[in-house]
Amino acid sequence: MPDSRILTRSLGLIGRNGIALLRHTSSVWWLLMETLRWVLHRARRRRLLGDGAILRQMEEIGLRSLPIIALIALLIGVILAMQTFFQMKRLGAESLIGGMVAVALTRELAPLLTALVVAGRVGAAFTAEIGSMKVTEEVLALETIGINPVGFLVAPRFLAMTIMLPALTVFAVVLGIMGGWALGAGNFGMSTGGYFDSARDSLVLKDFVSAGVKSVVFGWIIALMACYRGLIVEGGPEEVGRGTMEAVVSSMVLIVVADFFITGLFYYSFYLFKVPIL
Amino acid sequence: MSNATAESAGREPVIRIENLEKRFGDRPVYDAVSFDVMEREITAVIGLSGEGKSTLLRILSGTMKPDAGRVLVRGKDITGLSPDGLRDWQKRFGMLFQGSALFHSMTVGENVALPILEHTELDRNVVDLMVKLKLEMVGLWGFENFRPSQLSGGMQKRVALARAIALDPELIFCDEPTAGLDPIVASVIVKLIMDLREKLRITAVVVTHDVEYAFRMADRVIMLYRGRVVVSGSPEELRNHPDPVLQQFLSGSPEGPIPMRRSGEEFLADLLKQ
Repeated sequence: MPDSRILTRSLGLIGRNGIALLRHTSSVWWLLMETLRWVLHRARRRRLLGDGAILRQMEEIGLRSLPIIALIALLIGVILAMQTFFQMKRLGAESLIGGMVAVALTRELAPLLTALVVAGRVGAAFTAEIGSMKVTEEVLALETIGINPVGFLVAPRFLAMTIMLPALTVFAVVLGIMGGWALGAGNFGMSTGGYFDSARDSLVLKDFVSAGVKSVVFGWIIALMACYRGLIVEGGPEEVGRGTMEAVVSSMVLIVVADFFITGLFYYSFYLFKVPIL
Repeated sequence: MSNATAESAGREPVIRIENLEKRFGDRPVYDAVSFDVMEREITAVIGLSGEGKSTLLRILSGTMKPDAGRVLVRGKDITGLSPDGLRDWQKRFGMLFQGSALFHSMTVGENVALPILEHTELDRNVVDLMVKLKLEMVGLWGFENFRPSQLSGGMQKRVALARAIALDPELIFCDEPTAGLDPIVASVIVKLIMDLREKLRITAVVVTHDVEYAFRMADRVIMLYRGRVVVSGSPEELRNHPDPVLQQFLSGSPEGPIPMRRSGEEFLADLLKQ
């Protein structure tokens, strides 16, 4: 008898969580469609960037994230150079370090780490801000005035994120390569010209396309998950905290999952089947 | 205070609520609630906390749909409006939220300007002037560049009131306008709402559990209990009304038909059962 009770209880748990997952997925999908509709609406009215809201968000996402991204990218570049130097030296291929660092950063590390940092820093702020607006009835006040909360709160953040995350990623790639160079030239006695030549020769257009696609998709994940979690907050301040935590965790998980799929897509289509681009 | 029923006899109501029904899950909030809101009157809806008074304002403002019944505004039902119809309706009323619900990322002036900018194509200078005038009406001339967080609760409430009347609406809905304010500030808010009726000919629906202020400002009081209208009438009529639920609510007594706590007999019965 107890066995069957455990079974029904577990099935119920799986079912409930499954339904919740489906509900969240369809709601986030709806939010994406609604946000895109509002972005188009702004574009048609020639107000894509025309008001302070987006610029404020771009400043918040981009400018204010620069120091922490700079620090992390620089150190990752240094670490990559250190890790590869000894391996490469055994093969007598130290001159390829520039290429190693550049490719690893561009294809993978810069988009991923930038997105994870921004998810923690900016995504959390989005959820906390929108969540507390929900709790203090500000979102309801917007609706009552006749202002669509998705158009007013989500669309500017979404647009700003779409622009700023790729920009931050480029910044991270550049600083990472500089970090690798600083260590290579300063400590391992590599020539500056050799390092940058190797970096330039190893990078191909596909790497940049892959980095661009990744950072845009990651940006969308951060903006949507953070705004969605903020908009569904009900109750009091503790719910804002819980929503913020869930937004950061779920966007980090989704970023890595999306990274897996995008990398797979690029690997199979561009590197195996040689799909020509350009 | 005028005798509302006598004065309003033969007049058409601005809002007519007909057989409103609303349930949250299994819990019925409204069960066939009907009442009228007359032009240029302040109608106070009183009732216990959790009696769905705020839900009423959400239905009136079109942000929530009732399960059944109609809300007729000058004869037109507003419960099933199209998005365009809803926008037109939203221009015609202002809403004062319980916690003021000012946008904290904006200045006081931007808060008041937001509905004007959203619903009109007016020149920025005109909008700024309108904002100044609205703030003057609530006694906050010159406060445009303050942040809501720099103001006291009572001042925030006044800014919220200025925002609610930004578009010169014909109606204003107030959710617990005196909650959490000290008696003097609360009186100021009540006085401002009464002024709006006199000066701007605004019709107001005020939802509150504060009997004293409700009776002070209202022309007509509606008492909700267990999803139904128990009594309605002018404050004078209600004071002398024999209904026991109303009288318990007015006196604030824990003993009476409204179960506030379990009686001694119930407690004893429970103890003996164990």
